[in-house]
Amino acid sequence: MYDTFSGGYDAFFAPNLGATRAPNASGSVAIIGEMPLEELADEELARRYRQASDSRESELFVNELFRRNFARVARWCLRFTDDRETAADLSQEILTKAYQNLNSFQGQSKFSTWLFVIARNHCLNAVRANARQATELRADVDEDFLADIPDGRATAYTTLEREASAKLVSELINQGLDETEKVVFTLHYGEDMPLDAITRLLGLENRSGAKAFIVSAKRKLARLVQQHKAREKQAGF
Amino acid sequence: MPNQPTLNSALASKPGCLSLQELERLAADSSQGHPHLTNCPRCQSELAMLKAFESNTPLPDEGAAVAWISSHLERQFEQIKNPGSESHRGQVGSASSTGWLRRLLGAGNIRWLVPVAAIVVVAVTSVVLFRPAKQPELRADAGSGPAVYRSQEVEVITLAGEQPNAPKTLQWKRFVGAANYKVSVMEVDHETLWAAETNDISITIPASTRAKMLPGKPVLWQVIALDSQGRTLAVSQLERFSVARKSPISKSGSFPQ
Repeated sequence: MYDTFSGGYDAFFAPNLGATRAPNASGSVAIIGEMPLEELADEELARRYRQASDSRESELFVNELFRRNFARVARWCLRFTDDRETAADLSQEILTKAYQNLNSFQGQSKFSTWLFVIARNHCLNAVRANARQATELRADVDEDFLADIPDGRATAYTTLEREASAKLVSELINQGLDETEKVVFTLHYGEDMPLDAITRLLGLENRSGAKAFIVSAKRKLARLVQQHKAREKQAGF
Repeated sequence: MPNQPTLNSALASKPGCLSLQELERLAADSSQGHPHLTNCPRCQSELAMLKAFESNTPLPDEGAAVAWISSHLERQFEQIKNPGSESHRGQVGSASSTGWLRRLLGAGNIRWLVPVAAIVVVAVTSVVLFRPAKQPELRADAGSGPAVYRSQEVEVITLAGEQPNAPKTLQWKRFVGAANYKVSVMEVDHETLWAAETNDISITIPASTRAKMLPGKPVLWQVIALDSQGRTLAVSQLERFSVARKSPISKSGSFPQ
């Protein structure tokens, strides 16, 4: 869904802010057409990076663009791993990927949104790759509630039945769970995200974090499934 | 887990799901709604993740780690821009360290360096271990005023070494361009005891935190200079102090009652 990095309209960008001047003596703050480099929007920096006439100029823009996003990427990775060495590795990989694909960023979205797509996909892939961790975390909360959900495979291997079951599950989730439960449930079961990562990512401050929301979501879903089954039975299915 | 495929299918993105631009608009203005959003857990979770990524608000215990990672990224920035260059690899992570070692050992023409290096290490260690012990020099002016330790970035007016009591304030020097300072007090394992932000160059440690500074227990502290957007400008060195253990004999020379 969000795996593309490119877009296509430059109209998004702010109007040209003037000609580029050389950086000042210290090299830490450059003046771009009367506007300090650090006051330029991320998107403007990316545009100027693409249009820079020489490598020194492009370095100036990309350095500022990336440095101002270090903390954002670091925070994201830290919430996924809660281990600063692993988070540092992930952050470095994300920024390397972003740098390699920077020319594909055309300003269709904010730069931070574009960076989010890379960070999101990279961290989720890293979490999924760590199968052992995922198994341990899921074993901690998984019970038999899934067995009660109607399953297309149980009756016949037809796409139609699978779709009908999925639609029903989707309806039950929407009908029975509150917003946080839905988000936690989707991130854990749909994205394979560990519960402690969800807790940190969403800033959940309750004592047992995401686990409490999963437990209540499962309880509610199990009840809704039972009610659904009872209604089907009454209707003579 | 027989029904996992059904669950995956229920939670997967669908043709009507919101585009990245739509999610971005909703993240920027939470008062806006979208009819699809209320019925799609998938889009709700994407929006929650995007908001989390966009948010500059750190969790209470992550400030020091974020600053550490940021400074790591700063050091590795050339490597980020030129991932082919090997000279910057291997500072973090065991996998990259192993790769570095393997490459070093794999280079046949320098294999002889390994035993030579081992001999040098043994020789240096022997010299260090067996040299005659010498007492450290004492400075006549030690303790006459607050010593200033120059850190990598933010200068801390030190509170290091053994303190007679749990300190009430922490001080540092103003960092140019800083709008705020984030101060973290940590245990030796970097577990945060207390963290706070201020726009001043000193901060008072709450009594509840001071109560945790037990005699003899090492405490770390660090200051991070932030700009007006909450971005890290500079980080002080990690300072370490401890509260002196109380002698069982009181000043009057008698044992306390």
